[in-house]
Amino acid sequence: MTSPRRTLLKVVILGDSGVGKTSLMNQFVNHRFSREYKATIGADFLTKELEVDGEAITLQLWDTAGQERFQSLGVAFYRGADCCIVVYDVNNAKSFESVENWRSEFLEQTSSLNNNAFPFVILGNQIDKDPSKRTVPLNHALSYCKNQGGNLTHFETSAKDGTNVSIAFESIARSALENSSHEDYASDLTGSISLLNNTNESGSCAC
Amino acid sequence: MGKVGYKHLLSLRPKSKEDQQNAISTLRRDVMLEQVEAETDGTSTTRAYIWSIFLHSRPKSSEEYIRYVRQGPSPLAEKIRNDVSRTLVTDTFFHTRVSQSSLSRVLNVYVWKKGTTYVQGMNVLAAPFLYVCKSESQSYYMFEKLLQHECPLYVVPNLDGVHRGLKLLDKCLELLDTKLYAYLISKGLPAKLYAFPSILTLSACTAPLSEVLKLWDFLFAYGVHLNVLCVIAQLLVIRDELISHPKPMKLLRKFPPLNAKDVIRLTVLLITKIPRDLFDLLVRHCWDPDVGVVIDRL
Repeated sequence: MTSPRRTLLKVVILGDSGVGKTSLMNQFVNHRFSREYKATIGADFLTKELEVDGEAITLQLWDTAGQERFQSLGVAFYRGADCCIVVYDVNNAKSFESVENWRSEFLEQTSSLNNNAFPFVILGNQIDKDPSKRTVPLNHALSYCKNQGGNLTHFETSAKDGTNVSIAFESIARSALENSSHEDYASDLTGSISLLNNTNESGSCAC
Repeated sequence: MGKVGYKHLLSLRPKSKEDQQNAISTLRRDVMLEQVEAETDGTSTTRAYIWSIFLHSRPKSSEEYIRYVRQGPSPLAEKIRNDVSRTLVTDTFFHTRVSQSSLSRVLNVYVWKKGTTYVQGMNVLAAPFLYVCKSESQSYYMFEKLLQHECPLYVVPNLDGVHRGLKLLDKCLELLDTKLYAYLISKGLPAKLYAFPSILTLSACTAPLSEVLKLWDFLFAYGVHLNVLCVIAQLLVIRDELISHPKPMKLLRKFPPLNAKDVIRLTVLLITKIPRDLFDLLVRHCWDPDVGVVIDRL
């Protein structure tokens, strides 16, 4: 079975522990929400094939454990990303305050040449909870994204009931696509040379 | 001869230093050949003693432990709390026996006492001890021994030992099953993408807990470095499915239920096929920083 030409896009998901990174990814890829969730150890990895503006793409989602800000997973985990998602919990002000830390950590790790152009998608998750619990108002988040001046897009989502999840990921895919060099990979994507270079060139232990 | 039980332990009672070494060797062998006496839910009257012998964890008064508990939540208490409720969530046996508070206390005491950081995965490493031991402080001391003496490099901030374990996993798999290794790599799957949790938690992230305990009997007897080969053994159990699956990551995101007996049997076979110098790196990767450079260059 040969797949059509697909573009491979790497997306890294960051954010404090417990904000729902893995759940968002599961909702997007498998349309499922599990109450029996567990803390991500190290990293988790999922792919999803979709079409954006007529272009067949494979999104490679790299989900990271939420505490490793100072526990480098190695540059290889971040390098070559076409888009970075930073998740916070709208009911947890601290997780929102961390967004900027995650963003600068990411830029530092990847030493991106054009920091302002690199696309970040900021997701405020867990909007399904009782509105009285909310501690991060929508306009706070919006003004943060505006004031940063970079390429930031913002959505509020619920990994639990699926609200805005597919819209957000479509936007993520589009941002990643715009950012990528639009190289096409002929064969099966997950086997593309690009990924191998990304993961191997620094040696697996890039600590 | 049946299972390794308390009567057997008592019969080993050594009279001299040499006797003691022999007794431990015998115990190691018996744990591998027989099984530790246990109920189907994994509880056992002898396991805690057997583990404490292998981990060199002497009986200790709980005074010191209690003193640290009295210090209250550590600076990392919030992170710990966040993970405690997400530890072995699907294991009902575990949750009927071990409270979230005790897991939380063990991890907080570790942070207080060792002045180190907490990394995700330590919660999973602490859980089996609380399930097996008769007291919380006993669990703590064995957990501390494991982290400080058996795999200290796994829980450093950069998780150096885990990265090296993953690299060695790739190297060993390439040697042991070239075809499977090549297939996974062709799918862009080096070990770090699918085996991170299994390496860091010594396979305890894979259910059921009762089987994890049996695997840990083996790992504590012969060395936790063998877990790298145990992870390969877990791959080999589903080798045919993996190699015929267009997206093997779908199978690897959640490893198949653990069967300790099969995994141990396979691992013992794999050991014989690893060249001496590679095996030496395997033995040292979780505690000896000096071999780091060598492994990084592989």
